[in-house]
Amino acid sequence: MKPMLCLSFFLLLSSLFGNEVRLRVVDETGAPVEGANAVISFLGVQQGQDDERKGLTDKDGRVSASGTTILSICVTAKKEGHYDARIYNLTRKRDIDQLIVLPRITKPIPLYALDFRVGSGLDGIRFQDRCEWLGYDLEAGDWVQPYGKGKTVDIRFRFKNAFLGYEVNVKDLAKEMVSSRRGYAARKEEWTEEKFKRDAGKWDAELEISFPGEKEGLCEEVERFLPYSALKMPHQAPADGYVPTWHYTANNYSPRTARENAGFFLRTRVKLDKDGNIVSANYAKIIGDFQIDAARGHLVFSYYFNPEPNDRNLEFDPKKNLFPASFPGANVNDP
Amino acid sequence: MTVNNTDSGPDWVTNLWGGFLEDAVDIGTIHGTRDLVDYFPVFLDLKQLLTVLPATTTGVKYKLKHETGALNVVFTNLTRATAFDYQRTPLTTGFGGTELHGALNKAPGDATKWHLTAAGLELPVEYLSLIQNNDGGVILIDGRSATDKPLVLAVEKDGATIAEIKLELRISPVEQMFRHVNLTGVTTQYNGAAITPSLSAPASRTGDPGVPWPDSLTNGKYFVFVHGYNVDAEKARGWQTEVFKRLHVLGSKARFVGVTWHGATGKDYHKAVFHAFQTGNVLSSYLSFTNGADVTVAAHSLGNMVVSQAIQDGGFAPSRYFMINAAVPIEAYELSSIDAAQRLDMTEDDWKSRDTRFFAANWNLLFASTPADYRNELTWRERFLSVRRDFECHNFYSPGEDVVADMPGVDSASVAAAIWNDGSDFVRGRGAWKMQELVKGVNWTTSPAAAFMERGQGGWDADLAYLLTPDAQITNEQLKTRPYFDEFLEADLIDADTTRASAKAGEAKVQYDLLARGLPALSYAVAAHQLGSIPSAQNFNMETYGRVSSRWPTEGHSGTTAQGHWLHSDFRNVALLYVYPMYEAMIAKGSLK
Repeated sequence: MKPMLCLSFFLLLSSLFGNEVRLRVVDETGAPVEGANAVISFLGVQQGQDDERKGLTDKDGRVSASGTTILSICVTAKKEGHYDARIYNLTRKRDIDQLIVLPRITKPIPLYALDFRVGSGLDGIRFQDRCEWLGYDLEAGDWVQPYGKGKTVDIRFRFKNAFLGYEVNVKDLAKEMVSSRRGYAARKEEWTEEKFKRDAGKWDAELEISFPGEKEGLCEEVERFLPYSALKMPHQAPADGYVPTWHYTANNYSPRTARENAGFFLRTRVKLDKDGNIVSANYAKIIGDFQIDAARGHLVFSYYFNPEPNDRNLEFDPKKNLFPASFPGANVNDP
Repeated sequence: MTVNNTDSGPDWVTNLWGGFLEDAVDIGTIHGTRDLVDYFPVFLDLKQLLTVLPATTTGVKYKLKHETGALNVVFTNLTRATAFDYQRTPLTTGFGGTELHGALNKAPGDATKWHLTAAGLELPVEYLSLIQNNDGGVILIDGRSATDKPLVLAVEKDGATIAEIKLELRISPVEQMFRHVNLTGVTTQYNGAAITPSLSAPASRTGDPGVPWPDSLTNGKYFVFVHGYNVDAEKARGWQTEVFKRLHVLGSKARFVGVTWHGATGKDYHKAVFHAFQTGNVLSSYLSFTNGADVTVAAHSLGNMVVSQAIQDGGFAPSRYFMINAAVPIEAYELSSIDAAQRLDMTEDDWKSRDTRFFAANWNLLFASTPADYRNELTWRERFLSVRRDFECHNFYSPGEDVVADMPGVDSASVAAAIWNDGSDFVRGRGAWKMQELVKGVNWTTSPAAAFMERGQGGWDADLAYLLTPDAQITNEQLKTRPYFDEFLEADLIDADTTRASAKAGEAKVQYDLLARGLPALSYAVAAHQLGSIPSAQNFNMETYGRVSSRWPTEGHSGTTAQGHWLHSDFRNVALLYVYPMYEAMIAKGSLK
């Protein structure tokens, strides 16, 4: 047990020493950003009690501040002509050296942007229990015919899942089924054991990704992914580095592994000359991981597709989504 | 229409829980943008009449009258096509100020309202010109008091009325438009003694409200709303009327039911959790008047403990359930989204290096080999499994939470005191929910926050008996009868007679009290997180999808962490024109129109 003195002692130590936060702000090329407005907040218990230190970065993009907090530290950096950055929950337990990239606003353009991520309230893309390759048209925002209205296969998916049995919490199967039936009855849906398996079962799943054409593929972006920035990925898709396949495994009984600090660039609709050189290609980006619901076979992700061949620019103007506003998932606010 | 009798504010309510005023107070202006939900647009379709009888005709006056003086009017430049824009768009001009003949250049929140009397208010010629030449003519009407007398537009010539147009309307106190269930009397002390809340809630009203919002005008569905912690009987009225009005103006035709329960327990949050379990047990029986109809239940914050308990153990079977900023640990619904880092962050600092089998949160696992022993049930883990697995459960969450925020790295019970002291009303304190988990079991010498709790047990206080014993020498059998943590208040739980111990653990009140006060959660609250085990479409990120992009009030959202964020009670505290997409989502998901 700790005596109450611990609190006083802790607060005393905090107030005596506190933390120093040293920021260096650069643009996407690594060049220092001078004159960026930085706010380093040493959080108080309530709004209005934060110890906010404001400053401008110097020629080398540096600014620093010291303060105390019993909670954590939050940092924002802004400059006209750049995308903002905001970092939460930096630890109070040591001094901090933090590099912040403020990407420049260069050329935001209209794109086909869709957000099916978890949290959008949308159902995602359903695999409809088919263990075959299904093509998806990024421009149409749908499966290709006959499963949707799409015409061009940009990316292909194959989903498989397997029922492993019931979760350990299903101790009394008959009793649990009664409970399950109660829920289905309440929403006036037919109950089947197959549905119960999906609701209460352990499932393993596998998602394979491929592309229909030569030199098409995807390219993972981790190193330059900026989770704290409005513009999370580089402005342009890379010219090289695409791989033709990708593979995921997932289940619904252990902690999810979907990453929020990674993304992908895609190269699709590639046309080659007789020597195998690319003469035309379209590019897209995906923010975050592909996420799959192992039991129900739903796929969710967020993508931006540039319909202009050979234009690798993927800096999106959120006011100019090429999908109509009424299109499910078209409410995309990030560039 | 309703009497304008709720709290108001500019963009974000300053009186956070909202007092409820029995009588409207006319202070001459709209009470900020939050007040706009109380106003109703009326289009004065006078273009043709004005052509025949122009306002400039000598001796001609156009007047708005109300026989009992129960109405106020606000002049706007809205047209028939844009009549509802003030509910969805932050307008900066177009509303009348303090000069009746002045320009319509005020923002809605600063507009002047004019009292309509039996003698009438003469419509200014400038306004009539706007109707005739610019398709104007939309006024906003505000109820001052109950009435069933019509709004009258009178045309007078030389003092004599030559024409009258009547708009039949009825202004009623808003609570007369919905049902109310008072559950404040169902909770008791742990020893069974009755509890009398300091404020009495209105009696239950479960029948057809009749005039002014009869069941015959509804779609036959029900929308039940359950408030959260520290909402007393008066504040509950404010919450219910606000949520009702917002749904109503956006087109919900469901029958609204406000539920009041006794969660106003001062700083003793744990007591409110105990009450939530008790209330959940009886909720279904008090909603029996819904009689098999389609029922959507929505709960905010700790109200989700009430509803989840009602579904899990109380026989409640709603058609769908909307969890809004749920102050319930994630592990109560699912385990698959909780990783080791999260469990460690929810572990009190002094216990991080201790064997996890010593934790009160894991004590039930010692009995896994005897499944019939009720001590297996003494855990938050999947306490409400059926809720998310068997029912249509929608999670309205906000990553920008404040009082139910994760606050990673803040894990000391001693620090908790400072936070709990300021934040225990769940209004201001960052991470207040996490703090109440970290002070479970500790006494006031460890954390002064514990002094606010009526009593403690289990939790994060260690039993000194094991102080000098190496961990490896402490057996699981020993821990069954002498836990590593602070003693339980019910000694039978560790009785050597396993039948006796199991029976005690099977008592409902024992389980509720232990969950509330003695068994810390090892996961964050749902409020700021998606649930991975429900279909993706049933997770709804309010910050991203529940509001209009690039529009958020600055009032009440100062500082780096609050700026631009959807805070714990913002679905109700922030003006409707900012948060209407969230309400529209509820209406769509519940098919409430």
